[in-house]
Amino acid sequence: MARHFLRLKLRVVLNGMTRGSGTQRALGIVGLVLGLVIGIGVAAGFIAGRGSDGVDDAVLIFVGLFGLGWLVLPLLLFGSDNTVDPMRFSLLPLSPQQLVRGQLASGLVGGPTVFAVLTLGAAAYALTDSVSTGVVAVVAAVLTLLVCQVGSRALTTSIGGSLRSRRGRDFALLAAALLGASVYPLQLSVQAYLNETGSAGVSRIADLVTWLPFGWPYAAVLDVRDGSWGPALVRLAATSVLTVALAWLWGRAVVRTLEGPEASGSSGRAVSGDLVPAWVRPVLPRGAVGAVAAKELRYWWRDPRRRAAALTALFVGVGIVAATTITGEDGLGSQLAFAGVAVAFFSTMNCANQFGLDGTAIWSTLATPGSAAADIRGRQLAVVLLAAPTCLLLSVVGTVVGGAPLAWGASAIGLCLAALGAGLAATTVMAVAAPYSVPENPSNPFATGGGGGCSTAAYQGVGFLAQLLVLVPMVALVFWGVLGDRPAVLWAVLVVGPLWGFAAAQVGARIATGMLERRGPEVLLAVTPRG
Amino acid sequence: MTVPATDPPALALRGLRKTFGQTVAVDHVDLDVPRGSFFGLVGPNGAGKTTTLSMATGLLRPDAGSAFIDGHDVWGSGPAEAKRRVGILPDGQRLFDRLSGRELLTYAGLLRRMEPAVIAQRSAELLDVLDLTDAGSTLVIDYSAGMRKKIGLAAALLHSPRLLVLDEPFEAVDPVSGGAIRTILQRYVEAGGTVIFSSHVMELVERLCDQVAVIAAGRVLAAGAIDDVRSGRSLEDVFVALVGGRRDTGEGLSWLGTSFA
Repeated sequence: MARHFLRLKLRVVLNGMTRGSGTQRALGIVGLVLGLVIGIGVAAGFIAGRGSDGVDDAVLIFVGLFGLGWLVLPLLLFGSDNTVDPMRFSLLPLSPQQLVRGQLASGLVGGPTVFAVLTLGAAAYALTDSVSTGVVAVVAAVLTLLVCQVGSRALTTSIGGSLRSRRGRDFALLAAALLGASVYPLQLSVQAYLNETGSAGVSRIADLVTWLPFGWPYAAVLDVRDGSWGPALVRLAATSVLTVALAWLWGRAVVRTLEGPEASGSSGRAVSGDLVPAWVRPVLPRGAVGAVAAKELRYWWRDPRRRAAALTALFVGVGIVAATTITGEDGLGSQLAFAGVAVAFFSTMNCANQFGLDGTAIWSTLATPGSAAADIRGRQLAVVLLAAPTCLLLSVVGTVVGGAPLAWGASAIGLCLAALGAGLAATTVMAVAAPYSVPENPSNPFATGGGGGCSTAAYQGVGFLAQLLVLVPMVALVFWGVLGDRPAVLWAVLVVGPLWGFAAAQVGARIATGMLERRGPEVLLAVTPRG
Repeated sequence: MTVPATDPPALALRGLRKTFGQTVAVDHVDLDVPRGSFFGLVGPNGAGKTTTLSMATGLLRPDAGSAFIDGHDVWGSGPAEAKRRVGILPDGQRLFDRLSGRELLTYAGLLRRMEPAVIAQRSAELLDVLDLTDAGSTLVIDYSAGMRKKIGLAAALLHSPRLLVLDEPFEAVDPVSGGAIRTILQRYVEAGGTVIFSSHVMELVERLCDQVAVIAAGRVLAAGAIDDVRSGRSLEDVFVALVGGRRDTGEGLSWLGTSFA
């Protein structure tokens, strides 16, 4: 039975690389090559560094990252590997044990396993100084891979049920986005910590890994090298027991998945009947523009992808500015005043593929005469209504918390609004000029779909540059005012910034409206998901 | 060929052609949908029905040919006039499904620059007739496939168009909802509207339509009044004869039913 799973997995992997669209194939091959290159690089590093001073810590930290990655990544990729989901096999007459054995075998086939063998093997070699240590090291490598694999399968299968319902997927999306958003601030904090503590900090982190279950085997190798066989054997035994226990849990989860009812996602949340949210009714213009803006406001909250993107923009914007203060010289800095600007910039970046996110629903705009202008302006209005108050608040709070001079705060407010306008101008045009399709309800929160590969990336890069370029004059003014200590200039930005942003947004809207009216059907075609 | 200026057909397609890469999806389609008719477009999967209807309504740009709604050129000088007069229910296109049913209708109406009071009254009636009043507060993404067709139909009817273009409106719709839709469409045609819809289901087309066109491999194989096209046989027989394809799997599969697992 395991043999059939192996053949299935091999066939799926091969098909992914030989058939499928050009982009899929390219991504698959790139991924494979990248994995190989990194794997060989790490392995070479370990082999070369054998016996040298920091190699123990390096191995442990690598094992820690490996374990975390092996556990977490399948959760994010759930759904892209069909052999992972037991539901696919629910109609076959298989016992749970057969299913578990089969999935274990097939899970160990593929690129990631090659990577694991390369790196874990080299790590084992790097720690070896005698035959006995070598034997233990090999056992450790195998055990680490096993416990990670079984653990990740147990985790995926247990959580898998909730990932099948719509609400579960929505939540997973949000969690993944927040996770992604916290990577950079986390990295900066770790860097700051290491800067302070130096190599002692590195050793402490390495020690931390020996406490984790997937760190036990390699910790055992270190024990053996130091001559203490007792703790080593205990660690190895404990890992083995844990692996068996996880396998049993996995079996139970499989049974539950196969026999349990599908988690129903159609619990149908009831919403009030009004399209226009109450809090914004006085501000919104009546008619088509107001309708589009109202729809957009609803979507920014209700569509999990947009909500995740909006929250990510918020966190990343604040995080980047806050991180510069942490890694800077002393405590909180005046640049916190400009936290709002970063958020404004990233918020508008989210709009660069608005039509792609809406998917083929844009057909209603095409089918309604004269609605292109309303669509563009309504979208812009919605972003302004959401982002402007947030950025203003951040500027004020940042100025107060960072202890920046008032003039800086004033210029920050002006710059925020300029950034919003500039961003809207660039991304509005981008959204019409270079839309691309995004899968409808992805199991993988990070799926971006076929896209069109290189040309799309190039377009997005151009859009990003355009966004910056339009903002440059205002940024230059602020720099001039800050560096030259000219408060008058900074106060002027408070007035000039919003005007600049408004003008830019209008120009962008006009260009985009013309384009949408001329090439509406092409936009619809571009955002239709392939296959 | 042009479209007569006086009393033009509700929908006129002239020489429409569309190619996707190597595949010719629609190969020179000419069609006339008379005003006040109930027109059925039948064909197998991949015949080009959806492509044709998309090109006819301004959603997909044809490689060649033109489409006229009530005499107004969809792809030329008068797309706004043409689009004002038509209500569309496309197949396989998303709706704004993060809105509730009622919100979706409000949005469609406001986009058409209708008065909010009119929208509210018509939405309530449409939801009631289509038995969607209870689901009016639920997000469309939680609707079943049949409910989605119904709310899409409601959005197409909201601005009281002269022509309805419906792509597979009865697919995945239960018999009760299907009956409600049929009744609405029949009343609409009796009041002077024109309906063109595509379907696989021959019995339905025979029952409802007075005009029919058979399309396969991107070409119109037969078109006209349904009695003329049928000429005594059933529409299914005519369809199979025109389209070809295998029938009668009387031989083979000898193990089926004799050696059970």
